[in-house]
Amino acid sequence: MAPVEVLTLMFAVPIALIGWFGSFFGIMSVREFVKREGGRGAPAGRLWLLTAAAVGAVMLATLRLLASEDVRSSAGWTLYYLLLGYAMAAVGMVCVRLLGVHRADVVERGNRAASMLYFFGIVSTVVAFAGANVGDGPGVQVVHACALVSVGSLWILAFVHTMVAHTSYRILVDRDRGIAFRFGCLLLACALVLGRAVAGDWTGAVQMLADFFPIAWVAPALVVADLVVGRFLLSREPEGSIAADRAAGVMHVAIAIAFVVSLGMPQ
Amino acid sequence: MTTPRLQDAFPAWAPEESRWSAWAKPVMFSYPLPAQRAPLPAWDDTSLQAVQPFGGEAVVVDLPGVESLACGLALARRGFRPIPLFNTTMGEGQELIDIDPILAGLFEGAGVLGGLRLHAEAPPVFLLDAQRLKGTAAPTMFDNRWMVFPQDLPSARMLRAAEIRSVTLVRRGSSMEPDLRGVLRLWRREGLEMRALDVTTGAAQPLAIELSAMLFFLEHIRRLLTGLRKNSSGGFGGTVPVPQATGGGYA
Repeated sequence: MAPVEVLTLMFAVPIALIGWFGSFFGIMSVREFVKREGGRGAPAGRLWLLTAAAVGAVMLATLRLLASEDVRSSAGWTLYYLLLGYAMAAVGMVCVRLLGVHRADVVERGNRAASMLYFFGIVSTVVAFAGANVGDGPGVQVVHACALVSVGSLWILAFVHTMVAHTSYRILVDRDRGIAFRFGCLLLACALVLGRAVAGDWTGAVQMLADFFPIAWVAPALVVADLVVGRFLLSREPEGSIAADRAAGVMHVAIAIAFVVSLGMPQ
Repeated sequence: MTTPRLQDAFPAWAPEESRWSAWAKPVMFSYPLPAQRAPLPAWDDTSLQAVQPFGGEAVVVDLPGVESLACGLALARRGFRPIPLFNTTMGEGQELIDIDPILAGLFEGAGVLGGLRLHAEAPPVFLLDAQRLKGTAAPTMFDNRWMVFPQDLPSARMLRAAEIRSVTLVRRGSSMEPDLRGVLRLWRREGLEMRALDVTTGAAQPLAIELSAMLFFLEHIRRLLTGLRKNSSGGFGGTVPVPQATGGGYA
């Protein structure tokens, strides 16, 4: 292992352990009665497991199918980058928290909209990070550079969205599951686009950025489209139909998938 | 004979059929009933004449612990659904807020509510403890002060969806903690009418909320950073640690 890979491991292990075990024990330490009665309809333990499984599935699928040959052929390197994925998911937990989602929202208040944001926020972070693992490169440092661009762009777009449309307020106070699903799907769609925008063989930082923008513009375009759509959907009351929000969310992801597939395999 | 459990009282306060039950705080119901249980104080119903159920009105009661419960039950007799928002715990050391009387009151109140058969669509009356932020914690004490967040109450959109157009704050005098001020400010910003009812006079008048968003935010952050302790088992409460007797460095 190169020094930078050892250093990365030294940071990634505690970040992953603190993030995942901290959130697990945070959920488990809440009294059973409080979890059952306060978290009606939002089983936090299952949410944690589902999120952990989704993160593992995204990373393993990427590493076994799309990563460079030396990672695909080595169980040790696969495990190494899988661990980095869990560490990046822990960073996603921090970003979700910055949007205002706390343990109390998911476990004690039983806010199902907040649970959706927790799941989509973390999984989207890992999808954006997974793109940084696609293709050949000289080492883990290029994964860092690509992840910084893709994950950073994802969360900048998320915070812009929430500032313009008060998305966090709608999810945490209105407990609007429709908006939570639509916004979660938007994050996932943006992550697919941004992940694809940083995917491919590494030929230099300037070239990476030159390849990034011609693809990544679709992500802010999706955000703008969602803000426009949201203006029309927002007028309904919180207990109205959430079918329109669901349809919009699925549409975001479908557009992103179609766009990424149309680009073909990254070079 | 089986010992009554406070947990069994929770369904009376948060029945499945009421949309407001999702906001009832279960944490205090997870504690055992105190051995000594004083009855709730009697409540003079005439002080609440200005509050009418099914008039598109919700109520927030901000009175000291057991008084808040007694007032809530008096409003329940008039057709409101009381929702307890007490979000504190008990633990080792002298508690800053004595919650035993509230636990006993919650148990007694469940019996009262069980006999009322409230309407499923009954408008809510949210019960707070006006003492929730009072007092100063010293080392070894159990600091169980707590605060209310906008997430702990329904949003104005949710209230409007239930045909609620105005909110009455029931309190004594004119004091109001900044946390509640923040919630009411958001409600008013989203179009709900506000008024305050002083239980000492029975007079209701429009409620003025003078606090800028920045001041509210700073006060909120100050409370979070300097005082209150989240409890790992849910709600607020934690023992204040004893400061180190000696400083670091060389002896």
